[in-house]
Amino acid sequence: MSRIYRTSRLLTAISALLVLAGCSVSGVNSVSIEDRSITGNSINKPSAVVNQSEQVEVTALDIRPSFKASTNAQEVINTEVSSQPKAPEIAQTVQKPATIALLNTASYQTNNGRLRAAQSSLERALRISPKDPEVYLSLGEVHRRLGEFVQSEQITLKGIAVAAGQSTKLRKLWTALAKIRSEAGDTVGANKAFQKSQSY
Amino acid sequence: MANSKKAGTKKTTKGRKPRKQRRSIWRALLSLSIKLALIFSVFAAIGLFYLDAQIRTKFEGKRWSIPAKVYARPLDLYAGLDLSIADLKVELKGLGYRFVKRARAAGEAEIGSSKVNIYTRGFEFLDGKEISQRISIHFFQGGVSKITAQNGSPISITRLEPILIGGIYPKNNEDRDLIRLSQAPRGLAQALIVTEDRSYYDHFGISPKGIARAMWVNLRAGRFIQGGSTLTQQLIKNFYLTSERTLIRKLIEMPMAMVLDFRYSKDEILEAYLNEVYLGQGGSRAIHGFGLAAQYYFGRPIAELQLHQVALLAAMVKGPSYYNPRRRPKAALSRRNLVLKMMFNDALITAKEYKYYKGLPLGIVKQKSLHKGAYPAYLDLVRRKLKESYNEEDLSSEGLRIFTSLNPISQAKSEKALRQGIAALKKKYAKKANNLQASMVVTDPQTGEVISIIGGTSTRYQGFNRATDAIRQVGSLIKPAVYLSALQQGYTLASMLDDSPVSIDAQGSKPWRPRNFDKKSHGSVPLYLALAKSYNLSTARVGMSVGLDSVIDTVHKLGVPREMPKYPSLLLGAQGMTALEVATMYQTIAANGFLMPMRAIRAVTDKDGNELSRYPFKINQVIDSQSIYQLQYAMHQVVKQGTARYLNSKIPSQMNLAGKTGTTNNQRDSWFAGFSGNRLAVVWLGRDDNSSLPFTGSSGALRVWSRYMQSEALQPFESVVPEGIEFSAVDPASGYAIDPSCDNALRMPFRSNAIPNFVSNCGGSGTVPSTAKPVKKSSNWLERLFGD
Repeated sequence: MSRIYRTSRLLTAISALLVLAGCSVSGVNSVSIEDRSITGNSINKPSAVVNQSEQVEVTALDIRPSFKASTNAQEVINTEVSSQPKAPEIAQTVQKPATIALLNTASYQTNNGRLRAAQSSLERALRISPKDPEVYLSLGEVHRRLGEFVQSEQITLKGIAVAAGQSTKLRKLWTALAKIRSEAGDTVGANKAFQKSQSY
Repeated sequence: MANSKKAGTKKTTKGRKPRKQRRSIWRALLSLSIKLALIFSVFAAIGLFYLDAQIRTKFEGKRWSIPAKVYARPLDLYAGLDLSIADLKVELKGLGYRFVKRARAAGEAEIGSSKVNIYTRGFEFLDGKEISQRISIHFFQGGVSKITAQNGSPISITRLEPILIGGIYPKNNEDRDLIRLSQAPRGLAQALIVTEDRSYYDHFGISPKGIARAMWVNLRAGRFIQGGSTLTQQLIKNFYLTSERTLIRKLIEMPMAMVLDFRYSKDEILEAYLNEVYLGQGGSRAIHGFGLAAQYYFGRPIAELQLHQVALLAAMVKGPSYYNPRRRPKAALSRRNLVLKMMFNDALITAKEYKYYKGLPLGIVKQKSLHKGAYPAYLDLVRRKLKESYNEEDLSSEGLRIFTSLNPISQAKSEKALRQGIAALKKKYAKKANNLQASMVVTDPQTGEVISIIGGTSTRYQGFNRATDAIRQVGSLIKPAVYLSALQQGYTLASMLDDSPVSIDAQGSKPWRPRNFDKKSHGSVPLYLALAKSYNLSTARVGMSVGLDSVIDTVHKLGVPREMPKYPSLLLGAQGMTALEVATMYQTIAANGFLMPMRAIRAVTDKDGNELSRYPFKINQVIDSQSIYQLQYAMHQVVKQGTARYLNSKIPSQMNLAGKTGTTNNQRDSWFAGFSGNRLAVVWLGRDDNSSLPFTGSSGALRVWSRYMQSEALQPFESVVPEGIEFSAVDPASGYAIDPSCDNALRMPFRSNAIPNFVSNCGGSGTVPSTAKPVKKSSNWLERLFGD
């Protein structure tokens, strides 16, 4: 008996709530609460992590060495003939403190094995001092350590281009290039670069 | 035992037969109702179980689609940076900093005449964290001279947080910035509870008292005034249910609210509510959650809101469009003050606070000043690039963070230059300059990063992006590629070219007979001058002599892989390109022959800051340094004495600008592309219907370009002399080397093995017959080495 009573009391309570609820549904002249709820079908399925298609040129996070450095089969762009007259020696410009700080940060990050972070720091330095050969030297070094020899070589070559007339920098850069090329398996290119480095 | 029991039972049954019948009805009823109750409770249990599962899946899974956030470049600050206080203010405004007398909290800045103090907010970058700190930036002669920390110690480099410039939204266009309850400013939760659901912390998901009160109020008034929904119910409604206002929905809402309340803590539910609630509409974008609303209405992070701003947001929950502070400031203000009053009545704020905040204006930022949505053309480029590696759904739902190289200061300057430049052209040419369209691309020639883009004259309009999609004939902009091919094949800057009329047979059509812009021929001209003055006849001749294949190959090498039909008219720019392609081509020239892919994105991370992909600085030397160096010299002559002479009166000659004008047949397109040491810009003016313009490249696009460059802190274009290049004085009239002391002597670079022959006197066109063309096609270095 008491069970029935209880059930019926519950039913009454529920129906009372229903009535109340019905009354609380908004009327015509109301300032309505805007309802922009998500529709049923857009309820999100937990989706997989970001897909990366394959043909895109983004640096993969895992580090794979590539062995295609300096196979500029089509042509040799920079004539590395040592008989070429050297550009006149120019005074080295003073490094910006900001660049020095970033180079230090990058070298700290490199030593800790955080090569990608070092790469970011050096790219930041590059934006600040795009004509500082040291930045190219360090960035080329980071790419070499990452096994990205093509980029390493190209960035070092760019460093050589901006360092024209600064023989100390040039010697370092050509030496670095020799190392990069030899690691990439380009012995001939490495030898050329080494010889070039000795001419400064 | 068994028997006796059997007997006993029998007896009992027998003796109560009439009562048994009555009782059996009751029994049947009872058992029926028990069965019904059982079935009911089984269904209810299944229902609840189902609801519970539903609620948990969504509440504990990924609750919302979070649009990808796109950021501008962070502003690096260091001694030696060319930055004016005005420019810094633009950046700080974009970040929603408050300009105060004394910066005491994150997000505040004090601007002095030669010093700016900023209390930065800090930001987690890929390569390290910038902490929130108070810094002083000292300015001297238009640049930053020193940066110090609060304790006076010098800071060599720091950076501000990046401006959020846009998002990539899901199909339902919902946008939100998630916040934690702990990030909510003081008063937000209280204001919400006091206005929306007083007994929030006491009820069990639904509030019968609240419903009863609402009903009573509504009945007495005879119309709907109050709703009885709790915050939990509102969350359920928006979060789980459809927007139809049906009774069924209302019915299911209540048990769900109870389940939610049972499952999760009040604070967890409140946090979800803070992020779910709809708070307005920004165009097609739906503003959800208090985090985004703070940015949308006040232009700053929610933690930095003041009490009156918090009260306004809480006030808007009731009706974001009715109480929209931008459209209905009066309604919004009175409701905000009502909220403040309710807070005061509940002793949540003091009388002093109430009096103070009630007197404050709404404090809303203009929608126009918001950076989000202000860069449609740039975002368009970013989106395209992203679509190559990410699918649409991940972009609009995973909360990715995209770091771009957009420079909002430069973008603002280029927009201003375009607006003013076009206004000036309209003033000069009146109706003839109507319906002008434009595009502009600005890059950093040293890094290949795209700094700003304009896709049309309405820079905020998200429509046809002319910078990336309008393929327009480039006219003389192609000439550097023609001359570069020539320089690579042994021509020198002093090679004398024939600028007499020429007729070139074209297959299947009339012979091609190009003409000079002034319709004259200029006889014999040195190569550098033919480019500087943009002579068509000599260009067509030299182009035919080096070969169309060679020119096309050069264009490809410079970074425009577009397929081009091999028509001779290609040599004068009949080929169409986009402004972005032109920028790429000139970029390679400015970067000394190193091709750098145009980059708009630096990196992409997931919502927690883990790197997903990066777009690194990549270079590839495609042209030898010596040829590029000579070309740069000739392009500098364009500015010095050629078709861009106009710049001499506008920009100091030390900037050493180089560039090229471009005008197409019937003046349909007006172009200028050029660079300084730190900025490369391409400007195109024309009409969508391809009709003629009243101006050329130099009287149109160049003017806009010049305005923009004048507004930037330029660095001179300095290209170091590469090895294998020597300077020699020549007589421009003959192309012979002469004594440097001669009045007509002009020093220009040559390959060391291709210096023109020396004539002892000062030369002059009279002494040397122009037909001699002494160094027309100077032998290549091999030939010179071994003699010919």
